[in-house]
Order: sequence, then structure tokens, then C-alpha cells
Amino acid sequence: MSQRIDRRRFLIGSGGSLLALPMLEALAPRTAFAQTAAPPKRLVVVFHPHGRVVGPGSKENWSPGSTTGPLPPVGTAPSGALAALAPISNEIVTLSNIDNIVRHTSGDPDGHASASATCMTCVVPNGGNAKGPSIDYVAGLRLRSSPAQKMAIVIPGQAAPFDNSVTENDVFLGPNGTPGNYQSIDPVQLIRDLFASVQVGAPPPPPPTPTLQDRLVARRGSILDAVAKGFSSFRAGLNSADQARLDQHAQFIRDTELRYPAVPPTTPPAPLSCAPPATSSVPNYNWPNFRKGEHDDVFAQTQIETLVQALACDVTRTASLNFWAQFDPGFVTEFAPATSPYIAGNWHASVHGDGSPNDPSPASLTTGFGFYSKYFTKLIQRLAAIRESDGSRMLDNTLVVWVSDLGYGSGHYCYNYPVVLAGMKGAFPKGQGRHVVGQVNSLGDLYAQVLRMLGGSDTTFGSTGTLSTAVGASTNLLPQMGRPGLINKDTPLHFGPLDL
Amino acid sequence: MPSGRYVCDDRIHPAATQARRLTTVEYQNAISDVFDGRLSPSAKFPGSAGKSVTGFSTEAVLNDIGAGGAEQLMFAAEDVALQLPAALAQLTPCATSAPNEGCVNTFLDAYGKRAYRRPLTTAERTELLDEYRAGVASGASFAESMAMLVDHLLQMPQFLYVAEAAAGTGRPLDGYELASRLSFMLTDSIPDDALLAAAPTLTDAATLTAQATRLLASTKANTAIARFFREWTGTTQVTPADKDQSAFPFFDAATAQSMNDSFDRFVVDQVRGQGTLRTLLRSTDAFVDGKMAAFFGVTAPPSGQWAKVSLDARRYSGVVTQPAMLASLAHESETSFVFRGRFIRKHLLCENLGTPPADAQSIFGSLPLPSNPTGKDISAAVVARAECSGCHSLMNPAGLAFEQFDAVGRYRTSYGSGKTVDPSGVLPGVGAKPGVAGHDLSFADQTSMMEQLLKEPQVATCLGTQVFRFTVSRMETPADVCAIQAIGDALTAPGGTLSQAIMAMIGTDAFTHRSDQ
Repeated sequence: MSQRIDRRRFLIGSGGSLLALPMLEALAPRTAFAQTAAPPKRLVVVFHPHGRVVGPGSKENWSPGSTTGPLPPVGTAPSGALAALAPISNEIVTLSNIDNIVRHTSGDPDGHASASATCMTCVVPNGGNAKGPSIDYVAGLRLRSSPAQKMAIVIPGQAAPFDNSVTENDVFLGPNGTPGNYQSIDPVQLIRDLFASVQVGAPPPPPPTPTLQDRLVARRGSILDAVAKGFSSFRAGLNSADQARLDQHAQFIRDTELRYPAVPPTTPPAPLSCAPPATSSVPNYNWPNFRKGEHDDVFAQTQIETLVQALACDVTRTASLNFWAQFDPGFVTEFAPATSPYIAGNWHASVHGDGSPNDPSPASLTTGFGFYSKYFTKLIQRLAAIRESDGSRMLDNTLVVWVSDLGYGSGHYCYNYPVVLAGMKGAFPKGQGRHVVGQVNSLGDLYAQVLRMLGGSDTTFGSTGTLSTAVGASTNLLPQMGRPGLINKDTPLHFGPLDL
Repeated sequence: MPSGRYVCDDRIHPAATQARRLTTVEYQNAISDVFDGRLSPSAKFPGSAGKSVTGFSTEAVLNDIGAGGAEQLMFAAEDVALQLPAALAQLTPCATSAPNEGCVNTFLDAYGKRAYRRPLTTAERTELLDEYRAGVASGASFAESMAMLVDHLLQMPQFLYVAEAAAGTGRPLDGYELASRLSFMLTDSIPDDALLAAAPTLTDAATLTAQATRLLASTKANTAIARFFREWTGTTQVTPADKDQSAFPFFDAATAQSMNDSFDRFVVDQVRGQGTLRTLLRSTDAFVDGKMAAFFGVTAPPSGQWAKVSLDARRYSGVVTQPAMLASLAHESETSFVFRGRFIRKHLLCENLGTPPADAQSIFGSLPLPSNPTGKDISAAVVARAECSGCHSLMNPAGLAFEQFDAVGRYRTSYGSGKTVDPSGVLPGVGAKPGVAGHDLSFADQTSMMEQLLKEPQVATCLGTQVFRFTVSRMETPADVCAIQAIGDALTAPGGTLSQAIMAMIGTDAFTHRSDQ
């Protein structure tokens, strides 16, 4: 039965659309993304806005180095901005030279909206509007155990900022740029939403004995798997025209089976590692109306626990921690009481370097950024602390990708994105505890590699070709926000594998 | 009949065929035959869609499953599988005495072989056994697991498709492929056990002939015989809804059903009763029950019985004056000299007719007509239009010859307006082909027209073409001329019968061999 689910899952390709694969290819045994009795593979995406929060040419405080090499040993800060990652430096890989190439097709002179629309999708946008699903959605379709399982949930990492009118809710996206699976910003409600159906403790009573009709209905979600062998052998003996007719038939079966659950709609018992957080454990700070950021530390910690338990309880296999406040996160908790230079709401202006009431120094920017690093580390440590049914760490089965919308926030520059990878140690042939300054790669390269690390065979992600083939040679490519000298009509959207 | 040069010589002349899904009729018969009538076919099996080129419902493209077809096939398989537990003991007694894998194999030996129309390969048997095993592993009972196996079986292409292995430039069919061709052609169903038993030696011509003769003589052939003639002539299953009840208040469901049965009985009798091309087109036979006796104005047989009667030879001409056909080729209250004439030119003479202009209906609505126009009045107005005359000058005279039969096929001599029906005319350009002008046939009515058409060699060749199309489910190509000629020759041979024409088709290379080209 597990093989059926695996192959079926692979009928869904990027963008959530059905792959029009030749029948033999569609029916061929696929091992990628295989979910066996071993713990499931998972993906966590961490997002923060404004990239390295400084401009190109400013004092570098994010990159651990200018060349590829090992990160400092555990306990030593990799860099100023990443100082909080010191306890987990052996669990991470930091990446430089990752560019958002496809964003230059947008014709969006401001560049921020188009960067948000493409940094997770890598699909040619419609101006500032996204046109494709984000990486978490694509992976979510493939990793979920059944269509009924939640996927690609997006959990806020910060409470509401001073200015709640501008958000980064256009980063995590569904098919064709539809809104992602954003979860409630109320942490209590979030726990209710995610764990309502989770059964812990004594196993539920066995379901009533299924009737024959129940059993037949339960098979509907895996028809193609059931008939795949027979189709293949029968098809092999036919001429090409007849094979094409069978292929069309198989395609319609594929369309049909995806409308049904792949497995009987029963609630499986929760894994032993599952311990849903209690709503009573969440401090009552009137979260939905919270505006000052004084308790962002509590908020982030609560949300991380909820996210990790959602994975541990197999509520979902793809989740994102969204540090979504683009304009005015106060970072109040990162400074001595009442001393945050951003408490008046000028983080965004400070990142731009266009003057702010308290004229924050680069050090203050680094301190603010340290919030992201601190809770990224806590997320990794929490994932490492949970044991799977086979004794492995949950972190070893979970790939964590930390990305941003921009390379350098100061001028909406779309190159040299700050990228950190962690978890799923076995998917890093060259190991972890490394800083990689490889050839220029695109975000599309990064996400294709992420899918491969999860078991896929993808070589590209999002739009393909070159800038001109993607949108036409006459489009204004706005090269000024890209890597100097790189952006022209022949610039490819993919460069190849990363040096991992 | 295709044009082009093709020499019928001593070489093998195989026919190209396409894999095709079972039609609804074939599926219904197959379910009944596979399971000895103990399981009923599902009404959810997807039907055909689209317009037939050959006129026959077995065309491959008509039976391709559409977007919802796979789901319908799934539902249909479930419907049948759900019936299995109640019938399993009768189908496979070991289900009661020894419900184990040995019993499953016994089931597959009988019913799997029938469904796939050949012995299962080892891989196929294993796959089906795995379905049974999966059922058992999930806690299902033996009967439920067998039902899951049947659910699987009925969604496999081996059951759903009539398909033959690739043949390149040509090869003889193996015995099981021949058995399938034969049974679907003659019975609209799977091979019966006797045919499957004979399959290993069916490549022997004498064995093939013996099995074909056996099947053609069986009542199982009635469905296919009737379907051939219905689809060739465009005769539908007429219903009261097809007709204007104010004009034909007598045309109720019982009458319509009797009319349909009467047609089927006539054509089956033609094949079984040593009918010939002449009798097919000129016989005065009709089959009547109480309803049809009243319809024709003849003595009724005892209640609930049917009788073969002879009608007035001055009025009736074989299949073309069967009421079901005449009613099918007519409108709700009026006749259609176009439908009827098109049958003569396109399906009896196999002439290529053009496609009507897109605005044909609006043109028709704007024609200047006298009050209470006769068929000939309307035809004259149509033919007067240059864009219409090309085809209608050919079709209309043939259709007007049948104007003495109203929209439900009743004989008449005058219209409702009181004007006299004039069935005489001239059929132009008969036998025309590139470089040959053809000739005109003058006739007083349809009986004299049919009599003259019987003398046209084109008619026998065309009927041979129809048999060929019916058998291979596609239009003919120049490469098929030898098979068509063989069927036509059988029809025109002294004493040649319709059944001999069918047997002639079965004896051709086109039937016993296939190619991919």
C-alpha cells in the first residue's frame, strides 16, 4: 500500500497541476519522496523581510566569510547578524551568491512587491503580483500523506507590528499566486485549529467494520496504482497509436483518483512524540490586538512549539515560520527596556538607510536582526530535541530553509540573498557546518535542490529558460537591482546545482 | 468504396485496426456472459460520444473515455463487484467449501479467462491474486476480497479494450485474437467457452468457418445482426417522443416497441433465412404482432405472438420500407426526403456527399414555397439554390420516392392537404466517378427505383463496404479493396446470401491478419 501512495503523490508536479507525463513514466516506480515506515520527510521554511538589512557595500555583518569554508566551531558566532546561531553552527550551512533572477522580468520599478512575489515562487510575475505557488506549497503537495492532511501552513513568527496595514502575506502562495495557507495570528486559536483532530493518549476505539462498499470506495484514490502493472504490460504489446489511446485513458484515471483520498479517511493515532501544546499554556496577552512587540519573544517561542508539534503530530509535513512584519517590528525584546530604536516604528526606514528618528547604527540593525537568528536557533534546537519513532531526531528528517524576500533591503536589491539551511543532515553530501560561496545560483536552483534533498529529481523550479525567453526580449529588465553586470536578456533562470 | 489502384493478388492483404473500448452494448453482453448472467451490468458504464464517420458505434474514437469516463468505469466496476458476494457460491462452489487461493485460481481460470478473452498470463494472474490478498490482509472476507478482485478486473484494459498486439507491416492474428474478432463481430460480446476452447486452432480456416457458422446460427448473433442493419440504415429505437403526438396519436410506446421489434425480426430473418441482396431490398416480408398487423392492415396473429406476413409488392421494398427505418429517417410530423435520399446515395450507393453549408437551416427557412407544399415543391425550391443543388439534386429524388410513407412509415397516397403524393422521379448520375458521368434512373415510385438499383453493381460493393466497416470499425482505404470485393462478390454470386457475405468477410486476409499501417 505504501508504494501506491508514493507513486500517486508524484502525479502532482510543481504548481499543483497534474503532470502530463507519458504513461510509462507516470507508472514507473518512483522512489523519490518515498514515505515508508521510517519517519516522514518534512520541510520548514523560515522567512524574514529585507534580506541582509544593509545595502551592498555597507559593512558586511551577515556573511560568515567571503569564500567557501567551514563555519566556526559550535559556540563561536558565524557572523554578527548570525551570532545567535553559534550553538548550532555544526547543524547549518550558510549560502552566499544566491540571486533572485526571475524578479527582473517583472517591470516593477520599485521591486519590493515583485521580489516578494518571486522569492518563493521563482515564477515570472505579473508586475508585482505572483503567478506561481511557493516552494512550501509545491513540496507540501508531494510530502503530505493524503489530500486530507494539512500542508504548507504558514505560522506568524511575530505578533502584529505597530503598523498592521502592510504585511508580507504575499510571499507564501498557492497555485497561480493564490494566497498561501496563512494561519491565525492568535496563538490560542492556532493551537485549536491545528490540533483539534489529533488523538493522543489511549487509542480511539476501532472503527466499525467496513462494508464491501466502504472497501471499494476506499480504493478509489489509488486506482491507477492498482491497475498500473496491468496497464503497462498490456500497453507494451500495442502499436504506438494504440498506446496513445491507453495513455489517454491512464491520464483520465489519474485525474479521477486525485479527486479521492489516497487512503481511507481514518484518523491515525498520533506518533509517540506528539504532544500538542495546551491553549492554557499560552500567556494571555490579548494577542490578536497586540501591537507593541513587548512579548514577541514569548510569541515566537509559543509559535515555534506549535509548529514543531504540528510536525511531531503529523498534522502537517510542511510548515513555515513567517517573521512577517516588514515595516515596523519593534524588536523591543532585543534591547534593554524602553531602548529599542525601533519602538517608534522606523525599522523599515532604517533598513533603507534613509534616516530615522533615532538614527540607528549598523549595530542596532544587527541587534534587531538577531531576533530572527535567535528564534531560528530555538527552532532548530527544538526539532533536534524531539525523537522520532525510530529514535532519530526530528531535525534529521526535517529540512529547514531560511530565506528572505531581498538580498539587500536597503535598495530592494535582489542578489546575494541571505540563505541558511539546516536539518536533514543526510541530504548534505559535503556535510554541515559550512559556509558556501559558490558560483552564482538562482533561488530556482536553491528550491530545485531543496526538492531533490527531499527526494525529488527536479532540476529546475519555477520558470525556466533565460530572462528573454521567459518574458520576451523587449521587456525592461531593470538590471539596476540585480547583481552588477549579470542581468541581461541571456541571463539564465537556473545555473545548476549548489555546492552542497 | 475507396478509389485508387490496388491489385488483389496472392499476397496477404491485412487490415489495420485500432484498439477500441467496448461499447455499452458489448459491455452489457460481456458482463452477462462472463458471469453466466448472475451479475448485472452497471448503467454507469460510459457510453459513446461524438459523430460516427462509418455510421457504426464501434469506431474507436467514439468510445474513447472522456474526462469523466474513468470515474464512470470505476463506478460501473464497483456496481458489478458489489453483486459478487451474493452470487459467489453459484459462480464458484469452492467459495463455500474451500475459500482459499486455490479457489481464487479456479475463479480466474473460468471468469478471468472470459473477461480477458484468453488465458491469463502469470503476471496478470499474480496481479489479480494480489488484489485478493490485499483484501484479505485488510480484514475483508473471502467474498469481499473476491469482489475487490472483480472490481480490479473490470477496470483493466484487457477487459475494457478490444485490442490486438502490434503487427508492423502485417501478421496473422493468433487464435485468441481471432476469437475476439469473431465474437464481437457476430455477437457483440466476448467469445463463449466453446470459441475459447477452439481458439488454439482457430487459425485453421476450417475451424474458423465452423465457429463462425455456429455463432451466426445462434440467437446470440441477433443483437449484432440487428445492430449492423440499424446502424447502416440509420434506424434508431423509435419512441413516441420522436413523433408529434397530435399528428400520430396512435403511436404509443407499445406500437413503437412493436415497430422496433418488427425491424429487428426482419433483418435477422434476412440473414438466417437465406436472404439475398435482392430480398433485403425487395422482399415484401414483414413481421407483425397485434400492433404491427393493425399498422399494416393485415390479419393479426394470436395475441402475444408474431407472424411473418407478405405485404403488397406494389408498396413495400424490403428493409427500406420497414416502418422503423422510415420513421427514423423522418421528422416529428413530416417526412424527410433529405434523410431518406441521403441513405440511398451515401449508404446504399456509397457516394461521397458534401457537407451542408453552415446556414443550411436558415436557407431552408427562407425558401419561397407555395401554400401546403408537397415534397416535390420543397425539393424544387431547395435545388433552385445554387449552394444547395450539388448534393440535393442527387439526394432529393431518391428521398421523394419514399414520400408515400409518412413520418411514422405508414403508406399514403396523398398529403394531409389533400394533394396527391408523386413518388416518381429521376435519380441522376448513378455510377458516376472521376472520369465517368454516370447515368440517370427514371422511376415511377420507390419499388421501381429499388428494382433498378439492384442492377447496379455499386450496390453490392457498397453493402460489402458496410460489412467491412462494421467489422474493422473504421473507414476503408485503398488497401482494403480486396476484402470489400470479396464480400461484394459473395453477394452477387448466383444464390449468394447475406450470411455468405458475412462468411466471406471472415475469410478475408483483412479479418485473419492485421497490420499497423
